[in-house]
Order: sequence, then structure tokens, then C-alpha cells
Amino acid sequence: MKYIDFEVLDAKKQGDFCEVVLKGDFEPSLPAQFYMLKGDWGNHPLLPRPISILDECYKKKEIKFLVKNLGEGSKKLINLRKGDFVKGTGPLGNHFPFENLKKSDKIILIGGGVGVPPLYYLLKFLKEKGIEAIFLEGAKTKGELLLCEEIKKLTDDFFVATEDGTFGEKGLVTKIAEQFQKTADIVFSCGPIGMLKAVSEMFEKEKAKCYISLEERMACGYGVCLGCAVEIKGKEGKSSFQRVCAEGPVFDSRVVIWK
Amino acid sequence: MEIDLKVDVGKIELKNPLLLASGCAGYGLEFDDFFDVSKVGGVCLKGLSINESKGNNPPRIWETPSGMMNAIGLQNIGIKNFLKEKAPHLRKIDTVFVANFYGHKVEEYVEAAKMLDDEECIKALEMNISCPNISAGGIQFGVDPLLVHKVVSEVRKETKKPLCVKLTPSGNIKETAKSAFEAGADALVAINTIPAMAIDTEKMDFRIFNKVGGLSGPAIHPIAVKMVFDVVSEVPIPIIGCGGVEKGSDGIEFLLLGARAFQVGTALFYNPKAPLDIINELKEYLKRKGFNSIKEIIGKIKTKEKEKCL
Repeated sequence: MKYIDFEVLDAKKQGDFCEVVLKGDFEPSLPAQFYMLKGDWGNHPLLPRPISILDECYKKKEIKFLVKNLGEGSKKLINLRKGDFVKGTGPLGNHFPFENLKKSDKIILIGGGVGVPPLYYLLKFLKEKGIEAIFLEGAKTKGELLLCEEIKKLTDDFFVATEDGTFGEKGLVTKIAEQFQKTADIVFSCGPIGMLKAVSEMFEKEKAKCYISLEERMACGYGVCLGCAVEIKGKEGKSSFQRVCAEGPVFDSRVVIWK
Repeated sequence: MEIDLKVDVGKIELKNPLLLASGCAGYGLEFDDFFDVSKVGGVCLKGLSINESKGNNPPRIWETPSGMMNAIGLQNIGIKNFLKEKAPHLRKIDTVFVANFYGHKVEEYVEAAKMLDDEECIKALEMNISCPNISAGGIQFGVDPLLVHKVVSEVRKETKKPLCVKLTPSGNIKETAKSAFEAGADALVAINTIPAMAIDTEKMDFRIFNKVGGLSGPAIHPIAVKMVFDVVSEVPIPIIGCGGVEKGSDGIEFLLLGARAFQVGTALFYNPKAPLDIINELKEYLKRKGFNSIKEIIGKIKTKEKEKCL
């Protein structure tokens, strides 16, 4: 990780979302890793915000984030403009363990909301290794679906669910996931906590390994503040708090203790 | 001419007056990607207890205007694990490591101090009698001058190392400072976080699981300055200023009032290189003002005379 001065090369704002392209001297990242980002807006908000990497081109020193307006910090980030300066610390955290996947594995990616960008980034890594994956995306409504065109380019097996039925299957994305419950070998998921919990429960007693990427409020992002604690099962019935920013954000779903 | 940033806090010699604040600097080994830790005057390590401690349930933090609240609950690996896993690495780093420690009762403070006493990489102890986030101990000791006297004097008997006491802004800080001094403290740190609370009006619940969190960051800096002002004229031992320092001039405020050093905490979260920036700003300030040594500005503002004017 590094603390980097970025310049905004491009910022495409659409409604509550903004795709931000930054240029800076960063180190290569892996899917599910993130940066702590803050523009030069002084002390309000004070803390940088953890944002997952959507994509990057290391050679061109360009890195892309998809930010959703979720509060004061992300609201500032979605309003960044070309030429603005951003400080970023990263890449941070662990990553989706994709290194040992085989072409014969049945791989399911399940994403919702701002959980979709890191899964798209994972899909790119898999594609480069010649590994196929099934991508399931859920949203409240059609307008909130993310990266559909980009995902379609990387996989033929792309299924969508919207809660109001305005696009794809009507209902929750977990409903589509049910058809893969028995056959999946490995599941990667990122999105709202309710979705992650449902995904974890669905695959808990199945053969599939299930990895989820968690979100938590963070102050530092690099492991010193201990603010982003998640309770993890340990040996002999003991549990401990681990840091979403350092030991995570990706955890084996079977060790997470849900609130 | 090279500007001299060396200061001494009683028997503790620092290469510069900047210490990383406890709870914001881990075990001193987390900053290698950002800066060389040997460049700072010292590092106050994460608060240690006799046994490892799990910490509080999340949510543990909440951001506030120009600040943040936390209730981590002093999660730590325990002194034994610290001595085994972390201390050997710290011995190789050329800076002053200060072991922050706490207990839930007097005997635990004493035992913790004893356990740390023989570790060579620890140059001083910092007693935390002011944490707002643990159910017993912490701030309960810190607000009561009699308890402060009791716990500090008991620890004093059992340690050879310089003993700093970190004070809470709650209660009467002049009284608690006096008690800590009379009980044998070598230096005082003012201040720990300020007990605070925030409510989620939508969920109609507390923002932080622990309900109370400690407020830190630039928002509390002027309060910390006032508290240092209160304490420096009250006791004849060195004071270390702490609270909301994010730039050189923030630290200089403490020094001008007579503090011998200052700590940087929350700023590390939003600027991991803050210590280097601040040290450079100290040098620039001294150069611009025509001083060769930082010692020349310590206590430049006569607090006692000022107080009479109030």
C-alpha cells in the first residue's frame, strides 16, 4: 500500500453514481481490494472513504472506481470533476481467492449495489485466466443496476433480478441463486449485508466454498484504528474481532458471526 | 544551520517533540509503507492489558464534524503476546516506544506495569486512567483525584521506568493533574478523548454500540489547548499535549504554552504521512521565526501571568 496523490482524469456522474478515473503512481491491485479516498475538501468530512476498485490499467497508471452516494463522504466523491485532486491510500485488504480455481469449477458471483464493481473486477481476472463464471446481479429497480453491459461482454451467463420486476426476474437475487445451490463449487459475493447473510445461509450446508466481501465503517483503512471490527468464529467456541480492512474485506462465509 | 528539534520530557529524551498517540499507532509496526517510524520522536503503543482483550462490539466508530468518536474498547493482544511477538521488532527501531497500559482495578495496573518493566525497548510507561470506553477502570479512575493518587502511587512503587499519566478532560483536570504529580508521575499527557454520544434518528438508536465514544480529531484541539494551559501552571512536571493535532502550528500551540512534546493521533487516519508533514512544518516555523532550537519556544507564552489577567 501507498499514500498517493491522484488526479481525476474523468468523472462520469449518473444520478447517484459516479465512475471516477484517477491517475497516480499506484501499485497493482487484486479484486476486492480497495482504497481510502478523500478529495481536498478539508475537514468535513474528515475521514477518507473506503471504495472498491472497479478496474485499473497499471501500465497507464489509471484506476477506476464506481462510487454511490451513500452519505456525506461519498456525496463529495460523486461530485469530483476532471482535474480535481484526490488522496488515496491503497490498495488495501485481502482479495477474493481466485488463484487456485480450475476451469472445471462452477463459479457463481453474486452482487448487489456497490458490491457489483469488485465482482466485475474479479470477473475480469477470471476471464484473463480463461475461467468462466456465472454472474448474478440484484437491484431494487432497473435504474440501479450497475455495469450490465460490461458484465455481458465478459460472460454469457449473466442473470439479473430486480425487486420491483422492472428488469429480469422479479424478486431478490438470492432467488436466482437457488438454482445453483447444489451444483456450485465456489461462490463469491459482495453487496448489502442482508444479501450476504442470505447467500451465506444458502450455501452453508452445501459443498460450495463461499467467500463474502464485507463492508464496515472505517477510519484509517490500514489496520491501526480497529474501528471496522467483524466478529469471527475461532477455536473452541471462542470468537474474536478481526479488521475488515486488514484480515478482510473477504472472509469465508462460514466463519462470520452475523449480528 | 540544522534546526535542533530535540526535547526532553523529564528523563525521556526525544529526537523531536512528536509522538504518535496511543490507539492510533497500533504496535508501532504498521507505518512502514508510509514513513520511517524512527523519524518520529516516539510512539505510544496501543493500550495493553495483562490479558488480551476482545474489545467492544461494532459499530465502534462514528464520524462527527471535524472529528470522530470511537469506542474500540481497548482491544489488544495482551502484554505477554506483545512482549513475545512485537517487542523484538521494536528493539531494532531507533525511537522511543512508550507502553500505554490500563487495568480494571488498581492491582491490574500494578501487575501490567511490572510485566512491562524489564522490556528494554520500552523507554517509558503511559498509564491510561482516562478511557471512556471500558466498563470498569479507565475514566472511573481518571476523574477522581483520590483514586488517581491511589493508582498512580501504587504503580509508581513497582516501576523503574519514567511514568506518564494520560488525563481525561472530564472532571477537574487541575485536581487530577495535581494528584498524579503528587503520586509520583514523571509527566502528564493532556488530554485523552472527550466522552461523547451520537444518535441515529432514523433507527432511533445509538450510533455506537457502546453508546458512549471518545471524541477526537481537530474538533477537540482548542479544548486540549485550554486543558494544557490549565495543567502546565498547576504542576512542575513535564506536560505532553494531545488532542486534534494535524499540522505543525497545532503542536506549536502546545509547546508555546509550555508542553514539552505533543501527540498526533486521529490525523494519522486521514493522512498517514501527517507526522512527516508536521515535523517539516515545525522546522519551517522555527526557521521563519529565527530560532535554532525548538527548546527556545517551549513555554514562550507565560501561562501563570496570563492566568492572573483572566
